[in-house]
Amino acid sequence: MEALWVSLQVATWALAWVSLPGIALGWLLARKRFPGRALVDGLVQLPLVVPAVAVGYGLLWLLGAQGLALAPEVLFTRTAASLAAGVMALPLIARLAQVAFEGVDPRLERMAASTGLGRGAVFRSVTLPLAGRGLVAALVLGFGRALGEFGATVVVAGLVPGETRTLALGIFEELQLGRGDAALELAGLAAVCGLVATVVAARLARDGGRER
Amino acid sequence: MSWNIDIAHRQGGLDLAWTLRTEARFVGVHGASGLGKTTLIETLLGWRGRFGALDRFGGAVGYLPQDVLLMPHWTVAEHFERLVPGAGGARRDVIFQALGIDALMARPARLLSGGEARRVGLARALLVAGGEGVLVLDEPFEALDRPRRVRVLGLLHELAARTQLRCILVSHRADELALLAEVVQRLEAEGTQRRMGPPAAPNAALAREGVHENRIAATVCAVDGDVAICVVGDGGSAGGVEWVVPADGLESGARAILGLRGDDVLLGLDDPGRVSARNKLEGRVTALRPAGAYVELDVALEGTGGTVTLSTHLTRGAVAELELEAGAPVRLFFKTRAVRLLALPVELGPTGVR
Repeated sequence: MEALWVSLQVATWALAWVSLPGIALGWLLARKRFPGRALVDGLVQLPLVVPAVAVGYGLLWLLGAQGLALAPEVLFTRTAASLAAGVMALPLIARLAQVAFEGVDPRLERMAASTGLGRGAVFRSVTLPLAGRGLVAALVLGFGRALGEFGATVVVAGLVPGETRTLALGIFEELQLGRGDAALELAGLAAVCGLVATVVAARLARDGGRER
Repeated sequence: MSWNIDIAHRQGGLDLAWTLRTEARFVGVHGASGLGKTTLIETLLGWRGRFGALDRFGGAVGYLPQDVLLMPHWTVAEHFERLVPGAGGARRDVIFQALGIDALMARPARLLSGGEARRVGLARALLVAGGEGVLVLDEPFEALDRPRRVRVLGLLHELAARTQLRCILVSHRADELALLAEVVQRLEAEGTQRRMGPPAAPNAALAREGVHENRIAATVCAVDGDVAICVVGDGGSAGGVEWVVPADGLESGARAILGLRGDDVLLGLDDPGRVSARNKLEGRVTALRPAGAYVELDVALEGTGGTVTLSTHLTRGAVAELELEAGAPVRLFFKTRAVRLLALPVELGPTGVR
């Protein structure tokens, strides 16, 4: 059970790191045409297409003393685990947020602006509410993704019981030690968490669709 | 000058151009659908292309787009509270009532029918434009049933007469355009060119669309079953004459704008005796104008002090046989059912003039 608790904390912190940047990136990609847009798009999606272990190693290099040494003290702590999980969840959140924003008719924003509403008011009262359910679904799925993160986490956070031993790392450890039953138990827990996240996200997406 | 438009826009392989210089405040735009009317007005508004004319209008612009664009997650009331809080003053209630949206206020916009949404969108445009701004209405009468349409038309007619509003009105409905617009432009297509034609008088521009060329203000004095008796002319010192018209939901005492096609009016010199036509009037020819194979004739109605004139077209043969010339006395006949209710003017109240 401790592993589940660690996983939930890591995923929550991961979401705290990347939900705003993810939504902002999604909005940027959905609404703005700028030079280098394809590059930004590619960089955002990068963690999806390179091995998670490679992303983890990249983080290790950025943070650790052997690389840029941005914050060597966080390595092998829960903070490092949440950073790794966040980086892996970011592409999913950004992509789903982009889809959510693209689902909002820009003509509606234009109409609101043409009656004299300012940009901020238009975003708050038109764009956000209309994209809202899609954005929540993006965060829920991002949370699910962070919950199950393994490859990047193991590199930067290791396997510290009670600190960074998440569900995914726990399963790996139990398997390594030949304790199949314990691994199965953790795998079952992970499956239930994942299922809850996807059902909630699907429900939000469906209700959002009905609203429009 | 009310309008000084000069724009060109290229979209989807089409060259769209619109030039308009006119003193007329209410301009109608007519043309087959799919030619690019919407593209042109959205270019004018700065919604498309590089040309942004919004600033040049020197007033608030109330736009009713063809797709209305209500916020689906807002109630009807929120559209007014958030976008035009307090706008319109006492006129706000007149507009809400005339458009029949009082009862819709609590409804979420996404649950409105097409006609309801359009009325809400029209109210929003009217309140944004105020009394001195610019209205841009793209097919405002679509999806409105006829009883509703005559009221909406009546409201716009009064606003045109009693405010300084300017309006671009896009519609493919001839009567609605002719009643409101001082000039009408037709969008013409030639190859990939789409060009607004020269502004013309509504009756001339819409002759082929079967427009009711005669649009007459009247007051209902009695309703009897399926017919109503209306007084045409101001009814004051100049007097007025009674017309028998279809009841068509008219109420005694109401003001109405009636339409009559010139082709439905018969001219004669003598009393025809017993005929079915309920309307037998006397008048005097005031003008004859050659119009192609025909002659266009204006007849001032007797008993209205010259305030009501009807126009009709006759063949040259008929004009010659009746020896018609300016000043000649004539009799006019038309059926009850030839008269059509076009609009029910709405009282704007004391705040109407601004």
